[in-house]
Amino acid sequence: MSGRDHLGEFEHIVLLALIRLGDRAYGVSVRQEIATCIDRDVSVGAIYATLDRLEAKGYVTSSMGEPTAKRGGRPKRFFRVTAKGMSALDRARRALLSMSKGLKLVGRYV
Amino acid sequence: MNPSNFQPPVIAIWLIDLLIPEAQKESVKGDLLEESSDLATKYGESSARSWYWRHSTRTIARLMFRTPWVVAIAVFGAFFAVIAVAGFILVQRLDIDAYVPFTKSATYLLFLYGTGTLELLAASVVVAMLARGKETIATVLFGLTLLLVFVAADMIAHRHALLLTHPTFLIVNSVLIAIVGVFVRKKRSKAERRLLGG
Repeated sequence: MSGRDHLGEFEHIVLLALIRLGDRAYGVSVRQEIATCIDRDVSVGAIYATLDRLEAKGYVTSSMGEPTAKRGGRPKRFFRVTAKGMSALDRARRALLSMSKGLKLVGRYV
Repeated sequence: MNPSNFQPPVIAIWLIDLLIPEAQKESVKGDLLEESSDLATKYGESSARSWYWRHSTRTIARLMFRTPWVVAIAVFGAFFAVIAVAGFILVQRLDIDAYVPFTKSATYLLFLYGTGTLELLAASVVVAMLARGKETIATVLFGLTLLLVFVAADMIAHRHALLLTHPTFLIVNSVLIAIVGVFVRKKRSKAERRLLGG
């Protein structure tokens, strides 16, 4: 695994948001899903910068939708998680589980 | 208010068009308009406008350094800042008469090569940090911009262009910038691998 193949925290969150949204994953819906699930207000730019990085790593693919009047005739850019992205998520999840195994975090530092 | 009637700030749109990479421009503008139109319906146009400004500036700040010409200008700015500061410090410390004797002395050569080295180091680090894999495009644009500025300055100052010295300097400089850029990226990858324990 090269140094650039690991998932950062925000990349992890964005990938999970894409999976939750399925076919409806584009800039606005991803932003809103993150705000709803973890109460974190992120900019459209942060989402796109992260999605671009994930696309460069081969973890997501994107496709353009139809232009709509609500968006001033501009298309949505839809994103999907690839098989490589799924395995990166699984790797990250297993790494977190291994690292936290046997630890009793609640009550120890709080 | 009908959401479709909301008009985003013209200057914000102009800045997005200018600074955000071509591939993302349309979808970003569409996303910002979609959310701000909803806000205009719920909370009024002024809230939507302020939301649009806040998010468009944050978005531009995140994506602008993916646009090659912005990277070139940032490097160019760093170049002149370093030259100006180094020159000022040198002239002040050595109490140099900035005119006739200065241009013919060893101090002048020290100034020239010293600031040249500083400029090279600063530009290389800036390119490596900002370009993120687009060093070649950034370096070529940087070199071309410098070439145009130096030739224009020569034409104005001396009524002729030093067509051999400056392009040579620029080509060597650009190659060195690219090499240092690769070196910095490799160091960064190593540091990431160390963090991962790989």
